[in-house]
Amino acid sequence: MTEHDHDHDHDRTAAPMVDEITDFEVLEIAVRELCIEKGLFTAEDHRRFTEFTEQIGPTPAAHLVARAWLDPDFKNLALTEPMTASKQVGVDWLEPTGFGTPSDFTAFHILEDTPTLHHVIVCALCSCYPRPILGNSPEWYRTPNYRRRLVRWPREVLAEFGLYLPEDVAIRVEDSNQKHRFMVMPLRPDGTADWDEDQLAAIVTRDCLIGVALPKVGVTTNAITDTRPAMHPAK
Amino acid sequence: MPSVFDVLAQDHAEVKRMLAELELGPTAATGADADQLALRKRMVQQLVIEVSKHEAVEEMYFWPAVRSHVSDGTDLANQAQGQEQEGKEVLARLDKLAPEDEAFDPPDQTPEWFYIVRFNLSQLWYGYTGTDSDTLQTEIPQRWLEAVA
Repeated sequence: MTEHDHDHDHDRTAAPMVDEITDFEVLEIAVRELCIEKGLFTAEDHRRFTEFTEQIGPTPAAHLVARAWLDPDFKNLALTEPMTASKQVGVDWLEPTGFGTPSDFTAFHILEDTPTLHHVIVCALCSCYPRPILGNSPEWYRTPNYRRRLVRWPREVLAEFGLYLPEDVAIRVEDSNQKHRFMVMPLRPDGTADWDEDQLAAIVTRDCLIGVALPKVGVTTNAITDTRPAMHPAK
Repeated sequence: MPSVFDVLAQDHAEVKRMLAELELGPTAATGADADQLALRKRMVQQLVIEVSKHEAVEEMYFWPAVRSHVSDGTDLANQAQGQEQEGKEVLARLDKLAPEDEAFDPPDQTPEWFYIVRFNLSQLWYGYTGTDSDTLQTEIPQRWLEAVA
């Protein structure tokens, strides 16, 4: 560090948390601080925007599927006019954040599973994901492990998620890439005959909407919380 | 109630008609104005929807019935589905910029067509161990594609 006037004692200042910082982190800090300095947005705006993006989730998409299961007209709308159907579950693709951030993104499609066709989405190039309606992508979705292998060995990768599909069900791997976004509309499972929209939405988990799981009665999350017992369990 | 043959034949005729209309142009490359391009975009979207619905009907009802009820049905169905699925170019997608150009925003960019391509995985990958009806669908900008003949 070059010479500077001291009003602090280097031996007693806090050491940096990391010794290295990536170029992208530096770029982000620089651009953000410049925007705040120039008045493009305030620090408070930035905090609220960040918190908004952290809390989006798959609930709108789950309700879209549940509603489609219950109402054939809505299902048809979802397949032919996905933008309109999205709006009806509270997601406006042209105004995705409500913060006035622009979007002209309209290449969104809903993939309907049939008894002989199962869809699963991936972005082999990066990790494109229909965030406005599905929330943030899970960590595994962004890994090369998933992205590279799903397009080559789809049945094996799905088996790793515990999904085994019979031979008479064809798999269609839908690569999202930069222009197109997709979500899956899975088949309605047995045992849900007189369920209402909320009950149905509860079993349409994020993994079902990606296509690595099927909706099951009683399964409302794909997170595994039943692991090895604790060494020192809380009493 | 029209027979499935009538419905499918009608769909095929309709798709052919829409494709013929699209082929006439004009396109962005041949000087179409914004309104014409917007109309083309809507036509293409409608075509994609119609083709997808048609395909769903075929896959769910028609081919399984052919397989089980027509003598030689399995061969016929395999042949037809094989023809449909070999590295199939479904439809040109919208006039868009290829992503490698879009990021840099140079002044003289021309949009290009994106093609939705559906690969049959057992043909795409050597030693594929899944079924021969598994597919991969993706979008490829025109610059990466070359006509076969």
